[in-house]
Amino acid sequence: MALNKENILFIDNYLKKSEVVFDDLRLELVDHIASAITLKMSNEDLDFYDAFKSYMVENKKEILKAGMVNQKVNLKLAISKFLNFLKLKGVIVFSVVLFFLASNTFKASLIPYLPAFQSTILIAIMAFTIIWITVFYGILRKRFFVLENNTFLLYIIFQLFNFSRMLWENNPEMEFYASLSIGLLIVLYMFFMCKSSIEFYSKNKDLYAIG
Amino acid sequence: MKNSQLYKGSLNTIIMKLLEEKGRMYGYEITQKVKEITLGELNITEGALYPALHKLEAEGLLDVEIEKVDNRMRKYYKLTEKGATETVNRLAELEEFIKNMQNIVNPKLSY
Repeated sequence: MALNKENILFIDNYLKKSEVVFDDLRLELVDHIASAITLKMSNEDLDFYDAFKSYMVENKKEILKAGMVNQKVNLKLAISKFLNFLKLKGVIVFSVVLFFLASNTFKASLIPYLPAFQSTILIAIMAFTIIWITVFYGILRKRFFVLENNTFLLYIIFQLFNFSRMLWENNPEMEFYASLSIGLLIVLYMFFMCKSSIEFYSKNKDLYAIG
Repeated sequence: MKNSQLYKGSLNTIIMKLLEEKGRMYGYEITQKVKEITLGELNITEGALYPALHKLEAEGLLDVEIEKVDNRMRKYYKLTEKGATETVNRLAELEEFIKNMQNIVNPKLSY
């Protein structure tokens, strides 16, 4: 016996209220609970609400554990995905060419602007974050764990950028190369996030239509 | 999961082996299949299964297909090409581990 739309909505709302905030995690858990309840209803001759109650009494802890996000694992995954992106031929060529041009051809003209570099990167990150929030929360109204687990690493790289500038504050040469390297890393990371999001969106258009 | 520490290390290999045999499976189906094969002895919990599936997906070993089934969306997992190769390696490693364990725990059986 298949569950009706109201039953599915009930499970979805229950998980939302239990703080399973990511749509992709919730989608899997709704299907998991619905499959288990369907079996329970037919095996034990229960109605939907009794079967749901009985199932959740036994499994709530594990279900909610599956809906939580482990930051340590996420960070490891984000690093591993970004490293794979950095190995792409196009990315390597782009980085080498940009680094070469900036450190040779444009070095003299870039150095006077070093003090403004930090705020430029900060503005770029803020603009990126605002666009991200507008698109995903405002327009698409969906939150996906596979995309949001990348955001944390962006802020770590930015802190690394700030730290490196503090470290070489009195050494303009080192400050230039540190700013250039980590600034480039930040730009690449934002590009990586855009690329991952667009790929995810193209592959999972159905997910944006649900709920 | 029963006898957690012993089984935990093999969870990814168990998932990959099942996917190798069945082609594609969804989360609940994996838990039920494991229960069926082990006659109820091994129960993979949701809290262990889904993080493992997401990790394998992020590592590029699994691919995902989403379909609408009975008024809800269902996420199917299947092995990628890289995942299929990795499954062979991990199964060989697991078999070797079991053989070594057997030699240690019960040396007589190895003859």
